[in-house]
Amino acid sequence: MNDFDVIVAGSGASGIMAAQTLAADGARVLVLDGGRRDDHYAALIPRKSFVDIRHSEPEQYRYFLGDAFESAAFRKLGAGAQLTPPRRFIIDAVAESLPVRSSSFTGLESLATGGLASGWGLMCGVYSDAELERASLPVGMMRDAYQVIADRIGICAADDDARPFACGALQRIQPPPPLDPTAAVLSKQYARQRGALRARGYHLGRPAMALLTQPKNGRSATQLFDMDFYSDAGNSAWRPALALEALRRSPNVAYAGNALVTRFDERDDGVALEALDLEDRSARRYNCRRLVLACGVLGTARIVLRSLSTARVRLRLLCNDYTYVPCVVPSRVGRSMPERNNSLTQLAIFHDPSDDARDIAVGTIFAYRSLLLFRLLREMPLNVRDARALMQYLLSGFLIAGFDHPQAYSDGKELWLESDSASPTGDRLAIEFALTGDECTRHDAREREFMRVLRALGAWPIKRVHPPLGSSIHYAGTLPVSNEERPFTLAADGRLHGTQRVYVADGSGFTFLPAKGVTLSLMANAHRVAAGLCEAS
Amino acid sequence: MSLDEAAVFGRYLLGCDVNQRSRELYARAARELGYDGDDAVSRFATRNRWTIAALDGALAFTSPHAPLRAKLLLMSAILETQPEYAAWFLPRDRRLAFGLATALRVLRAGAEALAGLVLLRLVR
Repeated sequence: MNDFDVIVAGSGASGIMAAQTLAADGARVLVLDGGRRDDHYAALIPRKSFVDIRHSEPEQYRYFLGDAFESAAFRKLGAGAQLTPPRRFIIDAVAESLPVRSSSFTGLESLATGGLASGWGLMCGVYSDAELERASLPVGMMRDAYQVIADRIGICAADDDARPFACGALQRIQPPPPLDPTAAVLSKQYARQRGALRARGYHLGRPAMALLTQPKNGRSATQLFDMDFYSDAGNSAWRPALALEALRRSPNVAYAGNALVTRFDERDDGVALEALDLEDRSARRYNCRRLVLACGVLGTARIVLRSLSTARVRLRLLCNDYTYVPCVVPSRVGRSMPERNNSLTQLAIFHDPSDDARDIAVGTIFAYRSLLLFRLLREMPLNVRDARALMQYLLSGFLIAGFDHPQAYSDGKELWLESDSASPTGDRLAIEFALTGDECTRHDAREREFMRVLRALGAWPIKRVHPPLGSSIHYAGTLPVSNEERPFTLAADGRLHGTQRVYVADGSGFTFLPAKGVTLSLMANAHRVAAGLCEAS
Repeated sequence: MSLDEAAVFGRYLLGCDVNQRSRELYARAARELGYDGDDAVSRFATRNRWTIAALDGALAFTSPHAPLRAKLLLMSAILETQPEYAAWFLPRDRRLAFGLATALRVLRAGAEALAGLVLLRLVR
């Protein structure tokens, strides 16, 4: 007896989009997730601008530093290190429930409602046809799916040189928010050198963002409070939890939180699913006609490995290598900053050296203010007193430039399950991830050239910082799409080979990971997989 | 002890006496984060306030995660989130002369850090 037509495991960007498509088609859907959410800090944060809060709110330390002052403690650089206290629920209970052994990879997983996209930087990137082909995603179907997702979440972008890379042919795009004055210096310099930079493969413009600048479906336009890393006031930023809330009002959608899906067992008439209750550690069981796994690439790999194999199977892994470069724009130091602003990506620089959109690297430019000075002071080789005075002076001209590299399959990047008696599931994920010598050389050359471009645009790089591999939080490729019915691969429609009723709707099937933010493509792919399921049934 | 330490650190960081609330928050945070242990460099620095900048600067080079640095950064974070001291941390319009004065300040900090390296060997 199947209780549901489809169970969607995971409520992150992929899971929620799959659930939304299935529910709209009338399927009886159950959404399962870890259920972690912030029910503490959100209520403390007033609907005021960052500057206003700083000047007037005596309790601000609670959400800026945390009630246990956890953000003020030294923390090793790595994935999640910059999460602010109101966003730390995203990684709540992960260390004990989803253990990982790795000396070379610092990954991030989530048991939150909304998954990692609860803290997503909102940057969207439509993959080019060449990138879709390299990722083994069907071009025509993905094009349609991107538009469906853009209409659901609301995207803003400008009509500039970045638009073809960020938005492709998307329609119904909202205008971008105002540009930060320091980033505007780079934009002006780019306009002056546009021809030369484009000839070198560099295309600069405003990024596409899942941020409303005009009201849509009961959500407000951004009020530019510059509190983007702390609060989702007005719901101008799209978050999966928002979509889940709306879905739960549908009569054909059920939801169960606190569930860590551990394994599935396919039967003749459906799929039996096992989950661990994260509160009392008891076992839960569910039955459905079809299962859609959308637990994130690492989470889905755990479930599939547990369910399909007893031997030690190794799966390949893709992850974007990421570097960031703090910069100073000299013409902007010693100035005030606008009270109304946002902390999200201000500019995107797409580097397409071969002009065929196959191997695009992506630079992103952020202004820095709302993460507070103390995080910068920790990194400075100067006494704290004078570092504070110096950074206060430099801050208005301070930018962080990030740089993501595309990633194809190569040696030295694998994961597998191994037993772990201390883990609630009796196992843990082991990950080996190292760049090859060739990748290191190529990335280094590209980053050096990127820094030269930054200088040409008027931003002086201070240093290059290489966070640990895995910090980009973009993962893919563990269960690659394959035309052959091989174990641990997916069919083109997302079905897990070797099964008839289990589908994977996250990034596990991508056979190439473009450098553009992966979230929009995860959502489009999840919609495509779910739409295929609707059609089949 | 932490309250006294907070008063010393607050004065060092902002050049003025900081309010009671900031001191109490520092004491609470130091307890929460386990920064309230006794270490020789912090003890020496709080007893000899004129040495803090030198020791802080030297540690920034040699041992950035040292307890004294961790405590100073914690106090800085707490002061940054107090409305009374927001003006010390938020950017504002400055004349070029201020930039030159800041550059001189950084040079002085470098010289102090060199002296701090010697001092650090003695204190440890």
